[in-house]
Amino acid sequence: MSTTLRNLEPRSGNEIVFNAAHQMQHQGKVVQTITTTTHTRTTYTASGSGNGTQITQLNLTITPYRADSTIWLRWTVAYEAHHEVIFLVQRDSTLIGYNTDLGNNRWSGIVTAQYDNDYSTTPQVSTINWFDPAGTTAARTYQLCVRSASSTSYTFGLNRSLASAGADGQEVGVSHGIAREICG
Amino acid sequence: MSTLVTDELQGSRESNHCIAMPNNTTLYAPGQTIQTVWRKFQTLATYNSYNDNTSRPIAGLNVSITLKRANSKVILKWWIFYEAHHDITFQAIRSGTVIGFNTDAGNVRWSGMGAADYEHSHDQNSTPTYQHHCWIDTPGSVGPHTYQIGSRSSTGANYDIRMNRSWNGPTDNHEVGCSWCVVEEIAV
Repeated sequence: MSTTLRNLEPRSGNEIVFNAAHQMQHQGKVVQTITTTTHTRTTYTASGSGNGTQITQLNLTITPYRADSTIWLRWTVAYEAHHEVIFLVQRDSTLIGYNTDLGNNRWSGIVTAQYDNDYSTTPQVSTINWFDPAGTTAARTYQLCVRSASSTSYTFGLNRSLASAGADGQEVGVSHGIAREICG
Repeated sequence: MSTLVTDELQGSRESNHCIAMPNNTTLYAPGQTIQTVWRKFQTLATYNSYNDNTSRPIAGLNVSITLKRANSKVILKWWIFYEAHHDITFQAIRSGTVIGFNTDAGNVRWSGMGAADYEHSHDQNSTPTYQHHCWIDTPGSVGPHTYQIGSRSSTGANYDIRMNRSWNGPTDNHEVGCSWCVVEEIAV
């Protein structure tokens, strides 16, 4: 069924409400948004081998409406880690997010932790982006990961400093993940 | 011209409650994003940041966009992974014209959207940084417009900026990464 229109107008007022249970697929627009927020204060190990350690609290599961869509992933992470820790992205546990020109070396990632030379009481916030062509309409889970860029393993503190899970002068934070489908 | 007047839109049951707009058609509503263009840049590359007031584009992040409407607002976002001297400023450029800098200070070499990070111990060796820059433009025509992020030295010295890599390396402890540009057209 198709209706050809030039204009859409509200019958009264200034709103037209789209049924929240329905979809509108419109090329170039964000057609769905999945979010996750975690207040969990925990630690992970960023090892210098393998394809990264998943920060599972920030997993994002999305089922694209269209195979030709693009998934825009964005995580804003509060953490403390050594500056030789890099962030990676996996899709269903397969590494996809790193510098593919260089290849999958342990020093190849998307973003590194900032170099503030304090690995005790001063967390920071980083934003990590990745764009992934949907390819199919199958559900998939995107995982943000950390890896060491050297042979030394480092501790990664999520939403906390490395010194503690919260105390005077040892800040805690909140981390978020957003997956947006841009309609193809 | 046909106008549909209604309070509510619903997808048909036959289409599984989905209304599909044909490709290359646009529904305009003020404040909504009506197109998104993005580019990933991951080549390990060096660009000049010179002292001559000229903002030299980081060409790997060039993005061209043809707007749907001449009065649209354009939101530009860059996330750049690099290592450089901290006396560098970044500018937004539209089709060869520098538009993104502090206009109170003027288009001088120390005026930009922001400056390069000043890392601990002035490290310019093995520790890249990752920065977000933003600019909002109202070009006034549909274009096409090519948007760029550029850099220049804020002093009398000439510098380079090394994109998607540390100053040295890449190897252990000398990380590489990726940079992005995202351009959103917002209906007015």
